[in-house]
Amino acid sequence: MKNYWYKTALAAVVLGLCAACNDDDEETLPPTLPPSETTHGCYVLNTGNWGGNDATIQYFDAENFSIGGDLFGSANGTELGDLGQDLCLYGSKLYATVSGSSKLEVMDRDCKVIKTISLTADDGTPVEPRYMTACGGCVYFTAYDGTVSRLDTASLEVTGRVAVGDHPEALTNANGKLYVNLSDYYGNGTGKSVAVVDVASFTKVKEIPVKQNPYTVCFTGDDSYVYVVSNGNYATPEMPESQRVYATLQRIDPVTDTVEDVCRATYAVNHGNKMYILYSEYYFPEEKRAFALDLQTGAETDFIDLDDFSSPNAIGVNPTTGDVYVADAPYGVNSTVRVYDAQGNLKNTFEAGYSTSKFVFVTE
Amino acid sequence: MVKRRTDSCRRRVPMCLVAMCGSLLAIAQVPADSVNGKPHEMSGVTVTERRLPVSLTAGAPVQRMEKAELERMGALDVSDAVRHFSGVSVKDYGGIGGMKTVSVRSLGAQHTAVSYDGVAVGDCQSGQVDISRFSLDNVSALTLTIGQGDDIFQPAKALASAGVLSIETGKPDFGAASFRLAARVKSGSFGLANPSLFWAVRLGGKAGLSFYGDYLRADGIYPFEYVNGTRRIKAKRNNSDIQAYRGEANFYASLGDGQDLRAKLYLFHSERGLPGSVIYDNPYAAERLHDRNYFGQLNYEVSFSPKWKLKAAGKFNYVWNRDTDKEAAGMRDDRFRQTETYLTATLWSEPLRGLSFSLAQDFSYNDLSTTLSNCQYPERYTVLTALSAQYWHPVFRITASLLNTYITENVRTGTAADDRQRLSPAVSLSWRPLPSTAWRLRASYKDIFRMPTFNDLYYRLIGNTRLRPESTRQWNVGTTWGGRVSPVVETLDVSVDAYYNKVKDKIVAVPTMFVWKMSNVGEVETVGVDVNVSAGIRVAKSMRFGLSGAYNFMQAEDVTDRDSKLWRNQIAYTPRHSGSGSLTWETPWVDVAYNVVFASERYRMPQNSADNRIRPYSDHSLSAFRTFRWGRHALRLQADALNLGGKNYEIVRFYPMPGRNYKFTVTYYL
Repeated sequence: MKNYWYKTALAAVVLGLCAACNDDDEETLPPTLPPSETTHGCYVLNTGNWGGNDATIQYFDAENFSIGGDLFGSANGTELGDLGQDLCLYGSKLYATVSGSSKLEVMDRDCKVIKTISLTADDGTPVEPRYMTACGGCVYFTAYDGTVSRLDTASLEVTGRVAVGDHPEALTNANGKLYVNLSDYYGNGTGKSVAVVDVASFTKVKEIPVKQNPYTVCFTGDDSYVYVVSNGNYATPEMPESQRVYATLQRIDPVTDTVEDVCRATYAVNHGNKMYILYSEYYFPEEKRAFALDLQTGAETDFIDLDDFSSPNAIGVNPTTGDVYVADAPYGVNSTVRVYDAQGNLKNTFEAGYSTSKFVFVTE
Repeated sequence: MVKRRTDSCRRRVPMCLVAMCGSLLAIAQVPADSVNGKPHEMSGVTVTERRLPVSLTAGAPVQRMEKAELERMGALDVSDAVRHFSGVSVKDYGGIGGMKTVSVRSLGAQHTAVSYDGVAVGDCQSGQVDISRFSLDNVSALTLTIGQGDDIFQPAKALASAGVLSIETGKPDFGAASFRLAARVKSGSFGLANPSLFWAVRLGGKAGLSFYGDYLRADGIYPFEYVNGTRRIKAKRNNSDIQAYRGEANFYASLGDGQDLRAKLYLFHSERGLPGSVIYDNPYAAERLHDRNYFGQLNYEVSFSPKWKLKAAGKFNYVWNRDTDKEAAGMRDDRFRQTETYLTATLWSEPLRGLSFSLAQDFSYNDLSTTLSNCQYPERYTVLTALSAQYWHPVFRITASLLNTYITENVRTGTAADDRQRLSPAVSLSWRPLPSTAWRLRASYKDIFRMPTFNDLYYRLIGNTRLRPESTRQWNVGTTWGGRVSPVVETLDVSVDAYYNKVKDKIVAVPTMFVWKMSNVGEVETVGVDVNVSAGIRVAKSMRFGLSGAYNFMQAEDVTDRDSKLWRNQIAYTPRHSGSGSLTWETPWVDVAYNVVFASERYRMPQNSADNRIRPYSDHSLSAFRTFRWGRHALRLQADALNLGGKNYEIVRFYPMPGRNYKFTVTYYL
């Protein structure tokens, strides 16, 4: 009896050890919709986690309100990489800057890779590409080596690189010039200007002073002005008013390069006369608001309720329908995208990937 | 834009064991017994039965590994051994230079204190201790206590965390010799070379001096295979080298009249490359970490009478790190410096037979300065007071304690966190329902918290001075049995524990309206079971098998918000099933040991989606060793084959572990 007892105990331990040795196989990617078979919709870029190799690109069919799986993964059989920073649709091609993987992916409209351009500086350090803008047959992108590079979209070769300043982020083009946000990466107040690069000569011509830390928002509005959001210095109630720099939307006239404040804002997106604004200051939570600003009259109308969000991470407007897309990226979970009509009525909600950061709309 | 890059109590167990097994033997010995032990009164007792290990007698789960066990595991550093403890998860970033932290029962590394020869090793900046920097060479025992331990003659700090990993270095046993020497060379795969020297000398009859030093280097360039979708990546870890020096000097003296004095000086220098996570299409890694750590500690203990004892200790700890990286934007060079000054005194008394009390008073001062912009130069004063009581009876023992914590902080710029004060109770009970058997029941409860670290409070932008402490409540019930089953099965020890933990105000970095901030957002509920079995089987006079196995079930779920996508998701990096096993075969020719650890699937993110899943793993190793003796000399040879499966499994996602590797150790003793 006693013999039997310990033999059983031994057997149990040995079995337990063996049962633990099995490994599962890889999972298959979920099916996805080919964008070419839809009439209009939008690419959704999910940045992913730092060091997580989990950047993805999805396609949202705005006609049928359906979201597909990872388009890049299913088209190419590999993952996009680490930190998908920006996505740009120009001509017949899609361009993605993948910051952690330090590369630029050139793809067709179904995300099939045409060329992968690995981006390192002369000494081998990865340059960490950031944001893009396209004009005149070229895609221009910023990188953390303090440069803007020019990619010829015909030859798909980088044909030039110009130093602009420390930690450049979002950029746009207007009036034959590139406007490049020089962020305050170190948080010490040194990043507070927009660099101007002449497109024709591809040289930096000047820096325009703006409020502290111009960061992820820099675009050319439908009224041809350049709009820049400076994130400020994360003002606290303990700071004297004179030291506080609130997050602010500013407007640069691309003819005179003069700057004027528009309103406080953290995110802004433009559609015709309307500027949709999301605003919050961490230490002044009572000031948070979302509104639509009429650029001609200056009238502000309340838009959506920010209490529905943990942390909005991206905003976009569908130019065909005027619908506004806002991504909420809460802690540790996939983002939720809410689609509103121009008046702020919720039309639809879908789940995207991790840390959704950009909507790129396809119009016929 | 903000990328966050973040990193003995010589327990009086032996005496306690003697005490406990006394009670196992015969009730007649009871009067001599106490939990804190009275070796003098026990000296006349002939112990014919084996001493029961502390893991079976304690009122709360206690696990202990002695030197012999540690040696035959083929482990290089403390973390390799700690992985075999039950209910523990070691976060291992891979390779010899990779950071390794220990978490008990899913509570997180910051809830596990690490003590080195009786004094806590803290890190006020990150709150977690990298246990890879402790060599196993010089370690005589590792003890892991979960919840409330039985030893009440302890500093208050020993009560101030949910779990304590206690590392004890050996006090040399001189026997008839006047000195002891151990010289060792370890060598192995990936360029490992690790010579060490231990030398101890007797100074007169009652004092001794010992020195330990070692040097470790490894290239750490190991190959790994990865799968990116349908593409197989074959690459090598780069920038994974390490170079480290460790040195230690100890002085012991018995001053007479029951007085004991110990002094220790410790030095650690290292430089290593941080290979970082595997990034698709970008193998670049150039981050370097330099560490310097020096500490000195002094322990004094005195027995005034069998009823009164006092111990006191002091420590000064200096930690310096330099973290550099060559990035596209230029060279990054950050430096961090922290110090700790720690004083403790504990008074113990046993006014009535079986009833003992202790009062412990601790004070510590910590400060941190960094070269990061906006460094606030925080400093913290901590005052801990613990009152404990224990009642011992042949049939049961009950231990209760109450810890008071008071903390105040200053900063040079900005605003310091508010002062904090908290009371933390703990209680444990061990009961032998049938005094004639070694069957015990136990139950324990502990309410404790961890303070927000300096990073949590003051890190640029992300830090939040309004954080509350992260609190944990632990309940444990268990049963143990140990004994002899048959002439063949000489020993069989079994313990089964079930537990429930609740973590509140979990401190995590969360995005809150465009800004990442440290916040008190999480609530975690953990239900678990730990089963430990070990047996010694003698098949012939000189042939013996040792067998042990541990199995843990741990369901640690996020219960913060019923409407969240995370509701009832298993928290990150916590396997539902895990365990370890070992089989040793002792023969007159050679001793062979087989070890395994395994874990089921885990998730790298809070959401339990397929994308976040990390595959299960098992890690098998085989060791063979033999000691040759002639005269006073001894030579020990050991060969280890580690991770026999050869798979580059992951503990931390995108940090592949080294595949099959080998190690050889030659030790000469005199």
